[in-house]
Amino acid sequence: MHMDLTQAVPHQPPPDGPASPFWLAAREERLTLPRCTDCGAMRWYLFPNCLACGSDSPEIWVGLSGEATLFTWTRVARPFVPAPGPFHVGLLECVGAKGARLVAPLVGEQSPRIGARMQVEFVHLETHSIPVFRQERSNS
Amino acid sequence: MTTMPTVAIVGVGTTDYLREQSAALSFLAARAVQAALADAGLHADDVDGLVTEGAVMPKYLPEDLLAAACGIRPRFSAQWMVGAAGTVGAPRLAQLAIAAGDASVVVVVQALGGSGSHHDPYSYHAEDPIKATYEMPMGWYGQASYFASMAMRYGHEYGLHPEALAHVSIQSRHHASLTPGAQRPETLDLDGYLASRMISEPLRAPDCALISEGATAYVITSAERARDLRQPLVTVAGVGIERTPANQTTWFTQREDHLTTGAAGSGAQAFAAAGLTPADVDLIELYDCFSITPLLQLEDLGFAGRGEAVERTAAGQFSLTGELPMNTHGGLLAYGFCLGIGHVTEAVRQLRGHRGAAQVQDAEVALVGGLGVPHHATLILTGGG
Repeated sequence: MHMDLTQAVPHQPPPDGPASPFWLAAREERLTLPRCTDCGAMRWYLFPNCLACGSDSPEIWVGLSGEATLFTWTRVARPFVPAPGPFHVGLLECVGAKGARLVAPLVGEQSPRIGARMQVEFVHLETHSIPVFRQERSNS
Repeated sequence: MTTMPTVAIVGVGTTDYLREQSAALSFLAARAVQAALADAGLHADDVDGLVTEGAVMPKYLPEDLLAAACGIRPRFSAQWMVGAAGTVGAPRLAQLAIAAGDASVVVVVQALGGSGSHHDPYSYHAEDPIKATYEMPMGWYGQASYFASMAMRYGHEYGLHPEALAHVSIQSRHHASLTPGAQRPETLDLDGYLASRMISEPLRAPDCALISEGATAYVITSAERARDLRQPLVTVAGVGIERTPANQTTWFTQREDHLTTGAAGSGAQAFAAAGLTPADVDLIELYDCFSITPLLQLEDLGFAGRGEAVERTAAGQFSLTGELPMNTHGGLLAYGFCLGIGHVTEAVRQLRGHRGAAQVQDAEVALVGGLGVPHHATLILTGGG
Protein backbone atom coordinates (compact mmCIF):
# COMPACT_ATOMS: atom_id res chain seq x y z
CA MET A 1 0.00 0.00 0.00
CA HIS A 2 1.39 3.38 -0.96
CA MET A 3 1.28 6.30 1.39
CA ASP A 4 -0.29 9.45 0.01
CA LEU A 5 2.88 11.52 -0.34
CA THR A 6 0.99 14.79 -0.26
CA GLN A 7 0.57 14.03 3.46
CA ALA A 8 4.35 13.74 3.94
CA VAL A 9 5.31 17.21 2.74
CA PRO A 10 4.61 20.76 3.89
CA HIS A 11 1.98 22.75 2.03
CA GLN A 12 3.59 26.15 1.74
CA PRO A 13 3.85 27.47 -1.82
CA PRO A 14 6.91 29.46 -2.88
CA PRO A 15 6.14 33.17 -2.41
CA ASP A 16 6.56 34.09 -6.09
CA GLY A 17 4.54 31.15 -7.34
CA PRO A 18 6.23 29.59 -10.36
CA ALA A 19 8.64 32.51 -10.98
CA SER A 20 11.81 30.59 -10.17
CA PRO A 21 13.16 28.14 -12.77
CA PHE A 22 13.61 25.74 -9.86
CA TRP A 23 9.89 25.53 -9.14
CA LEU A 24 8.91 25.65 -12.83
CA ALA A 25 11.13 22.64 -13.47
CA ALA A 26 9.73 20.78 -10.46
CA ARG A 27 6.25 21.11 -11.98
CA GLU A 28 7.65 19.13 -14.97
CA GLU A 29 9.42 16.61 -12.71
CA ARG A 30 12.87 18.00 -13.44
CA LEU A 31 15.50 18.92 -10.84
CA THR A 32 17.65 21.90 -11.75
CA LEU A 33 20.12 24.17 -9.95
CA PRO A 34 21.93 27.33 -11.13
CA ARG A 35 25.57 27.37 -12.20
CA CYS A 36 27.88 30.31 -12.94
CA THR A 37 28.47 30.66 -16.68
CA ASP A 38 31.88 32.25 -16.04
CA CYS A 39 33.60 30.14 -13.35
CA GLY A 40 31.39 27.05 -13.36
CA ALA A 41 30.70 27.06 -9.60
CA MET A 42 27.20 26.23 -8.46
CA ARG A 43 25.40 29.45 -7.55
CA TRP A 44 23.48 28.02 -4.63
CA TYR A 45 22.06 29.97 -3.16
CA LEU A 46 21.42 32.33 -6.05
CA PHE A 47 22.59 35.87 -5.25
CA PRO A 48 22.82 38.73 -7.79
CA ASN A 49 26.52 37.95 -8.24
CA CYS A 50 28.38 34.64 -8.13
CA LEU A 51 29.87 34.33 -4.62
CA ALA A 52 32.83 32.39 -6.04
CA CYS A 53 33.99 34.77 -8.81
CA GLY A 54 31.79 37.88 -8.57
CA SER A 55 30.34 37.43 -12.05
CA ASP A 56 26.97 39.02 -12.70
CA SER A 57 26.41 37.10 -15.94
CA PRO A 58 23.03 35.35 -16.03
CA GLU A 59 23.25 31.94 -14.39
CA ILE A 60 22.55 28.76 -16.30
CA TRP A 61 20.15 26.24 -14.79
CA VAL A 62 21.59 22.75 -15.22
CA GLY A 63 19.51 19.59 -15.21
CA LEU A 64 20.45 17.02 -12.55
CA SER A 65 19.91 13.27 -12.45
CA GLY A 66 18.25 13.52 -9.05
CA GLU A 67 20.76 11.20 -7.43
CA ALA A 68 22.05 12.60 -4.12
CA THR A 69 23.79 11.80 -0.83
CA LEU A 70 22.08 12.64 2.45
CA PHE A 71 24.27 15.01 4.52
CA THR A 72 21.95 15.41 7.52
CA TRP A 73 18.25 15.47 8.36
CA THR A 74 15.62 16.04 11.02
CA ARG A 75 12.07 14.92 11.62
CA VAL A 76 9.98 18.03 12.10
CA ALA A 77 7.52 17.01 14.79
CA ARG A 78 6.26 20.55 15.34
CA PRO A 79 6.07 22.24 11.93
CA PHE A 80 6.24 26.02 11.66
CA VAL A 81 4.90 25.99 8.11
CA PRO A 82 1.47 24.67 7.06
CA ALA A 83 1.69 20.87 6.94
CA PRO A 84 -0.72 17.93 7.31
CA GLY A 85 1.54 16.48 10.02
CA PRO A 86 5.14 15.78 10.97
CA PHE A 87 7.57 15.30 8.10
CA HIS A 88 11.24 14.57 7.43
CA VAL A 89 13.51 17.13 5.82
CA GLY A 90 17.17 16.77 4.88
CA LEU A 91 20.21 18.42 3.36
CA LEU A 92 21.16 16.73 0.11
CA GLU A 93 24.36 16.80 -1.91
CA CYS A 94 23.26 16.24 -5.48
CA VAL A 95 25.35 14.43 -8.08
CA GLY A 96 26.48 17.00 -10.64
CA ALA A 97 26.15 19.95 -8.25
CA LYS A 98 29.36 19.89 -6.22
CA GLY A 99 29.43 22.43 -3.39
CA ALA A 100 25.65 22.93 -3.27
CA ARG A 101 23.29 21.49 -0.69
CA LEU A 102 19.60 21.32 -1.41
CA VAL A 103 16.99 21.19 1.35
CA ALA A 104 14.09 18.89 0.56
CA PRO A 105 11.59 16.59 2.28
CA LEU A 106 12.51 12.92 2.67
CA VAL A 107 10.00 10.13 2.08
CA GLY A 108 10.03 6.37 2.53
CA GLU A 109 9.46 3.67 5.08
CA GLN A 110 12.97 3.65 6.51
CA SER A 111 14.38 6.14 8.94
CA PRO A 112 16.74 8.39 6.96
CA ARG A 113 20.41 7.44 7.15
CA ILE A 114 23.21 10.00 6.77
CA GLY A 115 25.47 9.08 3.87
CA ALA A 116 22.73 7.08 2.10
CA ARG A 117 22.23 7.36 -1.66
CA MET A 118 18.90 9.02 -2.38
CA GLN A 119 16.83 9.55 -5.53
CA VAL A 120 14.48 12.40 -6.31
CA GLU A 121 10.78 12.04 -7.05
CA PHE A 122 8.10 14.69 -7.21
CA VAL A 123 4.97 15.31 -5.19
CA HIS A 124 2.33 17.37 -6.95
CA LEU A 125 0.21 19.73 -4.91
CA GLU A 126 -2.45 21.99 -6.31
CA THR A 127 -0.27 25.09 -6.12
CA HIS A 128 3.21 23.69 -6.80
CA SER A 129 5.27 20.52 -6.99
CA ILE A 130 7.92 19.52 -4.50
CA PRO A 131 11.06 17.48 -5.15
CA VAL A 132 11.39 14.86 -2.41
CA PHE A 133 14.07 12.25 -1.89
CA ARG A 134 13.79 8.53 -1.16
CA GLN A 135 16.57 6.18 -0.16
CA GLU A 136 17.65 3.98 -3.07
CA ARG A 137 16.76 0.31 -2.60
CA SER A 138 20.15 -0.99 -3.73
CA ASN A 139 21.86 0.05 -0.50
CA SER A 140 18.95 -0.22 1.91
CA MET B 1 50.43 52.01 17.68
CA THR B 2 48.03 53.18 20.36
CA THR B 3 48.50 51.64 23.77
CA MET B 4 45.25 49.98 24.71
CA PRO B 5 43.81 51.03 28.02
CA THR B 6 42.45 48.28 30.23
CA VAL B 7 38.66 48.55 30.36
CA ALA B 8 36.17 47.21 32.88
CA ILE B 9 32.51 46.32 33.05
CA VAL B 10 31.25 48.52 35.86
CA GLY B 11 27.48 48.16 35.71
CA VAL B 12 24.91 45.53 34.75
CA GLY B 13 21.15 45.80 34.55
CA THR B 14 18.22 43.81 33.27
CA THR B 15 14.46 43.82 33.05
CA ASP B 16 12.36 40.79 33.85
CA TYR B 17 12.26 38.19 31.13
CA LEU B 18 8.75 37.11 30.32
CA ARG B 19 7.16 35.16 27.50
CA GLU B 20 5.20 38.28 26.62
CA GLN B 21 5.33 41.86 27.83
CA SER B 22 3.08 44.73 26.92
CA ALA B 23 5.92 47.27 27.13
CA ALA B 24 7.59 48.59 23.98
CA LEU B 25 11.13 47.41 23.28
CA SER B 26 12.41 50.97 23.66
CA PHE B 27 10.94 51.11 27.16
CA LEU B 28 12.41 47.73 28.13
CA ALA B 29 15.81 48.84 26.83
CA ALA B 30 15.58 52.11 28.77
CA ARG B 31 14.80 50.27 32.00
CA ALA B 32 17.80 47.96 31.51
CA VAL B 33 20.11 50.91 30.80
CA GLN B 34 18.85 52.82 33.86
CA ALA B 35 19.43 49.74 36.01
CA ALA B 36 22.96 49.24 34.64
CA LEU B 37 23.88 52.89 35.23
CA ALA B 38 22.46 52.80 38.75
CA ASP B 39 24.42 49.62 39.43
CA ALA B 40 27.60 51.44 38.35
CA GLY B 41 26.77 54.64 40.20
CA LEU B 42 26.73 56.59 36.93
CA HIS B 43 24.12 58.78 35.26
CA ALA B 44 22.68 59.10 31.78
CA ASP B 45 24.68 62.32 31.37
CA ASP B 46 27.91 60.34 31.80
CA VAL B 47 27.23 58.15 28.76
CA ASP B 48 29.00 59.14 25.55
CA GLY B 49 29.19 55.76 23.84
CA LEU B 50 26.62 53.16 22.76
CA VAL B 51 27.13 49.75 21.17
CA THR B 52 24.27 47.48 20.16
CA GLU B 53 24.05 44.25 18.24
CA GLY B 54 23.93 44.85 14.50
CA ALA B 55 21.10 42.83 12.97
CA VAL B 56 18.13 42.34 15.26
CA MET B 57 18.40 45.71 16.99
CA PRO B 58 18.45 47.95 13.89
CA LYS B 59 15.51 46.00 12.54
CA TYR B 60 13.26 46.20 15.60
CA LEU B 61 14.61 49.08 17.69
CA PRO B 62 16.28 51.90 15.73
CA GLU B 63 19.27 53.54 17.40
CA ASP B 64 17.80 57.05 17.46
CA LEU B 65 14.68 55.86 19.28
CA LEU B 66 16.76 53.73 21.62
CA ALA B 67 19.01 56.64 22.64
CA ALA B 68 16.06 58.99 23.06
CA ALA B 69 14.16 56.48 25.20
CA CYS B 70 17.24 55.93 27.37
CA GLY B 71 17.84 59.65 27.73
CA ILE B 72 21.44 59.33 26.51
CA ARG B 73 23.28 61.30 23.81
CA PRO B 74 26.18 59.07 22.76
CA ARG B 75 28.43 60.76 20.19
CA PHE B 76 30.10 57.39 19.57
CA SER B 77 27.45 54.88 18.49
CA ALA B 78 27.77 51.63 16.61
CA GLN B 79 25.74 48.57 15.70
CA TRP B 80 28.11 45.64 15.65
CA MET B 81 27.90 42.12 14.25
CA VAL B 82 24.97 39.72 14.19
CA GLY B 83 23.36 38.04 17.16
CA ALA B 84 25.24 37.04 20.29
CA ALA B 85 28.62 37.91 18.76
CA GLY B 86 27.58 41.57 18.90
CA THR B 87 27.17 42.03 22.63
CA VAL B 88 29.82 39.46 23.60
CA GLY B 89 32.36 41.14 21.32
CA ALA B 90 31.24 44.70 22.15
CA PRO B 91 33.91 45.26 24.86
CA ARG B 92 36.53 45.26 22.10
CA LEU B 93 34.78 48.08 20.24
CA ALA B 94 34.29 49.97 23.51
CA GLN B 95 37.98 49.58 24.26
CA LEU B 96 38.93 50.98 20.83
CA ALA B 97 36.59 53.95 21.28
CA ILE B 98 37.95 54.65 24.76
CA ALA B 99 41.56 54.30 23.50
CA ALA B 100 40.87 56.77 20.70
CA GLY B 101 39.27 59.24 23.05
CA ASP B 102 35.95 58.99 21.23
CA ALA B 103 34.09 57.76 24.30
CA SER B 104 34.67 57.36 28.01
CA VAL B 105 31.54 55.57 29.21
CA VAL B 106 30.03 53.06 26.77
CA VAL B 107 26.65 51.41 27.26
CA VAL B 108 25.99 48.07 25.57
CA VAL B 109 22.33 47.11 25.31
CA GLN B 110 20.23 44.36 23.78
CA ALA B 111 16.46 44.27 23.77
CA LEU B 112 14.44 41.49 22.25
CA GLY B 113 10.79 40.78 21.72
CA GLY B 114 10.16 37.19 20.85
CA SER B 115 6.42 36.72 20.90
CA GLY B 116 3.16 37.94 19.52
CA SER B 117 3.17 41.53 20.70
CA HIS B 118 6.47 42.23 18.93
CA HIS B 119 7.47 39.64 16.35
CA ASP B 120 7.63 35.87 16.37
CA PRO B 121 11.03 34.22 16.81
CA TYR B 122 11.08 32.73 13.31
CA SER B 123 10.04 35.75 11.28
CA TYR B 124 13.60 37.08 11.14
CA HIS B 125 14.48 34.17 8.86
CA ALA B 126 11.20 34.27 6.93
CA GLU B 127 12.09 37.79 5.80
CA ASP B 128 15.05 36.39 3.85
CA PRO B 129 13.68 35.98 0.28
CA ILE B 130 15.99 33.03 -0.49
CA LYS B 131 14.87 31.15 2.60
CA ALA B 132 11.25 31.99 1.78
CA THR B 133 11.65 30.70 -1.79
CA TYR B 134 13.86 27.62 -1.44
CA GLU B 135 13.67 26.54 2.21
CA MET B 136 10.24 27.27 3.68
CA PRO B 137 8.28 25.36 0.98
CA MET B 138 10.53 22.37 1.77
CA GLY B 139 9.69 22.62 5.47
CA TRP B 140 13.20 23.76 6.44
CA TYR B 141 12.08 26.58 8.68
CA GLY B 142 12.49 27.46 12.32
CA GLN B 143 15.79 27.58 14.14
CA ALA B 144 15.03 24.27 15.86
CA SER B 145 15.30 22.44 12.54
CA TYR B 146 18.57 24.18 11.67
CA PHE B 147 20.20 23.12 14.93
CA ALA B 148 18.50 19.70 15.03
CA SER B 149 20.25 18.92 11.78
CA MET B 150 23.60 19.85 13.33
CA ALA B 151 22.80 17.53 16.24
CA MET B 152 21.93 14.71 13.79
CA ARG B 153 25.24 15.21 12.03
CA TYR B 154 27.00 15.20 15.42
CA GLY B 155 25.28 11.90 16.19
CA HIS B 156 26.45 10.49 12.87
CA GLU B 157 30.07 11.41 13.62
CA TYR B 158 30.25 10.66 17.35
CA GLY B 159 27.02 8.95 18.43
CA LEU B 160 24.12 10.53 20.26
CA HIS B 161 21.81 8.35 22.34
CA PRO B 162 18.27 9.58 23.17
CA GLU B 163 19.27 10.96 26.59
CA ALA B 164 22.54 12.45 25.38
CA LEU B 165 21.42 16.06 25.14
CA ALA B 166 19.17 15.93 28.21
CA HIS B 167 21.89 16.82 30.67
CA VAL B 168 22.47 20.24 29.13
CA SER B 169 18.83 21.20 29.68
CA ILE B 170 18.55 19.53 33.09
CA GLN B 171 21.65 21.35 34.29
CA SER B 172 20.50 24.71 32.90
CA ARG B 173 17.12 24.38 34.57
CA HIS B 174 18.84 23.58 37.88
CA HIS B 175 21.03 26.67 37.56
CA ALA B 176 17.99 28.81 36.70
CA SER B 177 16.25 27.56 39.84
CA LEU B 178 19.05 29.27 41.81
CA THR B 179 18.79 32.53 39.86
CA PRO B 180 16.49 35.41 40.78
CA GLY B 181 14.35 36.49 37.84
CA ALA B 182 14.79 33.33 35.76
CA GLN B 183 11.90 32.77 33.40
CA ARG B 184 11.86 28.97 33.87
CA PRO B 185 12.97 28.27 37.45
CA GLU B 186 11.26 24.86 37.72
CA THR B 187 13.78 22.02 37.74
CA LEU B 188 13.65 19.16 35.23
CA ASP B 189 14.64 15.51 35.62
CA LEU B 190 15.43 12.85 33.03
CA ASP B 191 11.91 11.38 33.08
CA GLY B 192 10.47 14.84 32.55
CA TYR B 193 12.88 15.43 29.70
CA LEU B 194 12.02 12.16 27.97
CA ALA B 195 8.30 12.86 28.36
CA SER B 196 8.61 16.33 26.88
CA ARG B 197 7.38 17.28 23.45
CA MET B 198 9.60 16.55 20.46
CA ILE B 199 10.08 19.68 18.36
CA SER B 200 12.57 18.72 15.65
CA GLU B 201 14.30 15.40 16.17
CA PRO B 202 16.47 14.99 18.26
CA LEU B 203 15.58 18.31 19.93
CA ARG B 204 12.76 18.33 22.47
CA ALA B 205 11.13 21.41 23.98
CA PRO B 206 13.68 21.65 26.83
CA ASP B 207 16.49 21.58 24.25
CA CYS B 208 15.20 24.83 22.76
CA ALA B 209 15.78 28.37 23.96
CA LEU B 210 12.92 30.04 25.74
CA ILE B 211 10.87 32.61 23.88
CA SER B 212 11.31 35.80 25.85
CA GLU B 213 10.82 39.51 25.87
CA GLY B 214 13.19 41.66 27.86
CA ALA B 215 16.33 43.74 27.79
CA THR B 216 19.77 43.73 29.38
CA ALA B 217 22.52 46.34 29.44
CA TYR B 218 26.05 46.73 30.74
CA VAL B 219 28.42 49.68 31.12
CA ILE B 220 32.12 49.84 30.19
CA THR B 221 34.69 52.42 31.15
CA SER B 222 38.45 52.50 31.74
CA ALA B 223 39.75 50.35 34.59
CA GLU B 224 41.29 53.51 36.00
CA ARG B 225 37.90 55.16 36.33
CA ALA B 226 36.31 51.90 37.42
CA ARG B 227 38.38 51.87 40.60
CA ASP B 228 36.50 54.96 41.78
CA LEU B 229 33.10 53.42 41.12
CA ARG B 230 31.02 51.32 43.46
CA GLN B 231 31.29 47.71 42.25
CA PRO B 232 34.09 45.15 42.60
CA LEU B 233 36.40 45.47 39.59
CA VAL B 234 35.74 43.18 36.61
CA THR B 235 38.20 43.80 33.79
CA VAL B 236 38.17 42.81 30.14
CA ALA B 237 41.20 40.53 29.77
CA GLY B 238 40.79 39.58 26.14
CA VAL B 239 38.35 39.55 23.24
CA GLY B 240 38.54 37.41 20.11
CA ILE B 241 36.38 37.65 17.00
CA GLU B 242 36.30 35.10 14.21
CA ARG B 243 34.40 35.23 10.95
CA THR B 244 33.27 31.99 9.32
CA PRO B 245 33.08 31.85 5.51
CA ALA B 246 29.34 32.10 5.04
CA ASN B 247 26.54 34.65 5.29
CA GLN B 248 23.25 34.52 7.15
CA THR B 249 21.49 32.93 4.19
CA THR B 250 24.03 30.17 3.61
CA TRP B 251 25.40 29.43 7.09
CA PHE B 252 22.83 26.83 8.16
CA THR B 253 22.92 24.78 4.97
CA GLN B 254 25.95 25.40 2.78
CA ARG B 255 28.93 25.65 5.13
CA GLU B 256 31.23 22.71 4.75
CA ASP B 257 31.53 21.55 8.37
CA HIS B 258 28.40 21.66 10.52
CA LEU B 259 30.16 20.66 13.73
CA THR B 260 32.44 23.65 14.22
CA THR B 261 31.68 27.29 14.94
CA GLY B 262 33.98 30.29 14.88
CA ALA B 263 34.76 29.63 18.56
CA ALA B 264 38.06 27.88 17.84
CA GLY B 265 39.43 31.03 16.21
CA SER B 266 37.85 33.59 18.53
CA GLY B 267 38.84 31.55 21.58
CA ALA B 268 42.49 31.31 20.53
CA GLN B 269 42.57 35.07 19.96
CA ALA B 270 40.97 35.84 23.30
CA PHE B 271 43.33 33.55 25.21
CA ALA B 272 46.34 35.09 23.44
CA ALA B 273 45.13 38.62 24.25
CA ALA B 274 44.55 37.70 27.89
CA GLY B 275 47.76 35.69 28.27
CA LEU B 276 45.68 32.83 29.67
CA THR B 277 44.88 29.22 28.74
CA PRO B 278 41.71 27.11 29.06
CA ALA B 279 43.14 25.67 32.29
CA ASP B 280 42.98 29.13 33.91
CA VAL B 281 39.22 29.51 33.40
CA ASP B 282 36.92 29.12 36.41
CA LEU B 283 33.53 29.34 34.69
CA ILE B 284 32.10 29.54 31.18
CA GLU B 285 28.97 31.11 29.75
CA LEU B 286 28.29 29.78 26.24
CA TYR B 287 25.55 30.77 23.83
CA ASP B 288 22.92 28.07 24.11
CA CYS B 289 20.08 28.70 21.68
CA PHE B 290 19.73 24.90 21.61
CA SER B 291 21.35 22.22 23.75
CA ILE B 292 23.71 21.19 20.95
CA THR B 293 25.15 24.72 20.60
CA PRO B 294 27.25 24.95 23.79
CA LEU B 295 28.52 21.40 23.18
CA LEU B 296 29.98 22.40 19.81
CA GLN B 297 31.61 25.46 21.40
CA LEU B 298 33.05 23.42 24.30
CA GLU B 299 34.89 21.34 21.71
CA ASP B 300 35.94 24.34 19.60
CA LEU B 301 37.31 26.14 22.65
CA GLY B 302 39.34 23.18 23.84
CA PHE B 303 37.34 22.46 26.99
CA ALA B 304 36.45 19.02 25.59
CA GLY B 305 37.92 16.84 22.86
CA ARG B 306 36.01 16.25 19.61
CA GLY B 307 32.98 14.12 20.35
CA GLU B 308 33.56 14.26 24.11
CA ALA B 309 31.42 17.21 25.18
CA VAL B 310 28.24 15.14 25.49
CA GLU B 311 29.67 12.55 27.86
CA ARG B 312 31.53 15.12 29.93
CA THR B 313 28.32 17.11 30.34
CA ALA B 314 26.41 13.96 31.31
CA ALA B 315 29.10 13.28 33.95
CA GLY B 316 28.35 16.67 35.49
CA GLN B 317 31.70 18.28 34.73
CA PHE B 318 30.06 21.51 33.57
CA SER B 319 27.43 21.77 36.30
CA LEU B 320 27.63 24.23 39.16
CA THR B 321 29.41 21.63 41.30
CA GLY B 322 31.58 20.34 38.48
CA GLU B 323 35.14 21.28 37.58
CA LEU B 324 34.12 23.98 35.09
CA PRO B 325 30.59 25.36 35.69
CA MET B 326 28.77 26.41 32.52
CA ASN B 327 25.78 28.70 32.02
CA THR B 328 25.47 29.30 35.72
CA HIS B 329 22.25 31.33 35.39
CA GLY B 330 20.47 28.84 33.15
CA GLY B 331 21.28 30.57 29.89
CA LEU B 332 18.87 30.87 27.01
CA LEU B 333 17.39 27.45 27.81
CA ALA B 334 16.10 28.42 31.26
CA TYR B 335 16.94 32.00 32.29
CA GLY B 336 15.62 33.86 29.24
CA PHE B 337 16.41 34.59 25.62
CA CYS B 338 18.27 37.81 24.94
CA LEU B 339 21.04 36.61 22.60
CA GLY B 340 24.46 36.79 24.31
CA ILE B 341 24.22 39.72 26.67
CA GLY B 342 22.82 37.77 29.61
CA HIS B 343 25.85 35.49 29.49
CA VAL B 344 28.10 38.55 29.82
CA THR B 345 26.21 40.02 32.77
CA GLU B 346 26.10 36.63 34.51
CA ALA B 347 29.89 36.34 34.19
CA VAL B 348 30.24 39.82 35.71
CA ARG B 349 27.99 38.95 38.66
CA GLN B 350 29.95 35.74 39.26
CA LEU B 351 33.29 37.55 39.24
CA ARG B 352 31.91 40.12 41.68
CA GLY B 353 30.90 37.29 44.00
CA HIS B 354 27.27 38.38 43.94
CA ARG B 355 25.58 35.14 42.86
CA GLY B 356 24.40 33.77 46.18
CA ALA B 357 23.27 30.14 45.91
CA ALA B 358 24.73 29.86 42.39
CA GLN B 359 28.10 31.40 43.24
CA VAL B 360 31.14 29.63 41.80
CA GLN B 361 33.68 29.63 44.63
CA ASP B 362 36.84 31.67 44.06
CA ALA B 363 35.78 32.65 40.56
CA GLU B 364 38.51 34.83 39.05
CA VAL B 365 38.45 34.10 35.32
CA ALA B 366 35.27 33.77 33.22
CA LEU B 367 34.93 33.02 29.52
CA VAL B 368 31.88 34.02 27.48
CA GLY B 369 31.17 32.58 24.03
CA GLY B 370 28.80 34.41 21.68
CA LEU B 371 27.71 32.57 18.56
CA GLY B 372 26.47 34.78 15.77
CA VAL B 373 26.27 34.28 12.05
CA PRO B 374 28.81 34.49 10.55
CA HIS B 375 30.83 35.80 13.52
CA HIS B 376 31.72 34.24 16.84
CA ALA B 377 33.06 36.32 19.72
CA THR B 378 34.89 35.11 22.82
CA LEU B 379 35.23 37.40 25.83
CA ILE B 380 37.49 36.69 28.80
CA LEU B 381 36.82 38.63 32.00
CA THR B 382 38.84 38.67 35.21
CA GLY B 383 37.79 39.70 38.69
CA GLY B 384 39.58 40.33 41.92
CA GLY B 385 41.46 43.39 40.64
